[in-house]
Amino acid sequence: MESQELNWVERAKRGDQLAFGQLVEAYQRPVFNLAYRMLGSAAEAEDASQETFVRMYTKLNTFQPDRKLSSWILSIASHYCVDRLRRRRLNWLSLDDDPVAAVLPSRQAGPEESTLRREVRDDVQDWVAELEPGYRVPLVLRYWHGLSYDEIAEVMGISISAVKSRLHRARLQVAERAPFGSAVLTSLLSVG
Amino acid sequence: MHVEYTELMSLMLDNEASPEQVRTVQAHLKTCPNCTATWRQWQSLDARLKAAPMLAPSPELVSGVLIRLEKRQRRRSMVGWLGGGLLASWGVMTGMIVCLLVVGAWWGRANPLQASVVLSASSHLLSSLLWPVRGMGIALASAGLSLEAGIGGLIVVCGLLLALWVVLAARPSILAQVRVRSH
Repeated sequence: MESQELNWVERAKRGDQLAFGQLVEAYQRPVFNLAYRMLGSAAEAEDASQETFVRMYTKLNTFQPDRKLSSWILSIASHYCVDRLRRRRLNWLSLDDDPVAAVLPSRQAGPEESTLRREVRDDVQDWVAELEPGYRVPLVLRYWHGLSYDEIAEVMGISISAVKSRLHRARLQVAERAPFGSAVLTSLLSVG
Repeated sequence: MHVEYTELMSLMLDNEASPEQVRTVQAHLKTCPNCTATWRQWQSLDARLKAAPMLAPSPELVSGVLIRLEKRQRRRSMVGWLGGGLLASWGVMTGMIVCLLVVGAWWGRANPLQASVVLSASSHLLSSLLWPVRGMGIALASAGLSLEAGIGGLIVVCGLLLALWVVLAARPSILAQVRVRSH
């Protein structure tokens, strides 16, 4: 871990909110992106990101310096997002018998979302949103955060073989949903 | 589609396949059109996923975190103060009960009838504030235990439960104060 970040962590442990703010600034983008890809909504991702950092602050004394700070923070974020998806599913099941809809992200755009240029409802998010949380996390960590198998295993608290298996399953499921015919494939490859 | 080969394809996309595994897949693709189609689809999906944008959080996220943290810390501090206040009030009440018992036991030896009347009146007064004690006292009296032994046991149990509750409620604020003082 960089010495600068280690310094911020030590100062934040002593109650230095300025140092804590530096940590939040340094990691807000990866945390927000993980939350967005998991929850499918910029507003929810913002809320989840804030909650992640507050939880990080309350758990600072449990952080081991020999561990990667980014993995630790993303671990908190991913576990919180998975819990949030499970709560969303419980709420849906109490109102609707359709379990598939329970894991789909909220598609209601609040007024704040219309002012946010960053949200893009693309096909990729639709494919990712239909994955089970256990398969969604490794896919997001692999493609949007570039984590290795070791790092994904550390974030999720699972074995490396489980990471391989889940990535494989995630790709199988995304491939089932993606409408890739030969014509589309050819045009994508030519654009790329 | 052969699962054992799609597993290797997944490793290849992540650059985690060994050279031998790569050669195994390549040899298989020469003879299996289904797996070849799958591999091409996965390659285009891989490119599509990698091209998906990273999004920027709102400029207010950092300030939002600090505001949320401050609210949470304030809430925990209030719980700590409430727990401390409850502990103090229960301590006073427990002290009063203990004094009544000691005086009653000492005086009751010589004046059992008057002692019973006083204790009964006192218990009625306190029961308006100590509903759990009252209910448990009635139960113990029905079981034939002496009034002094019963009330003494009730006080010990209630005191332990209250102490546990207050410690659990006040723990975050106590830890925060210890942390501040140690630094």
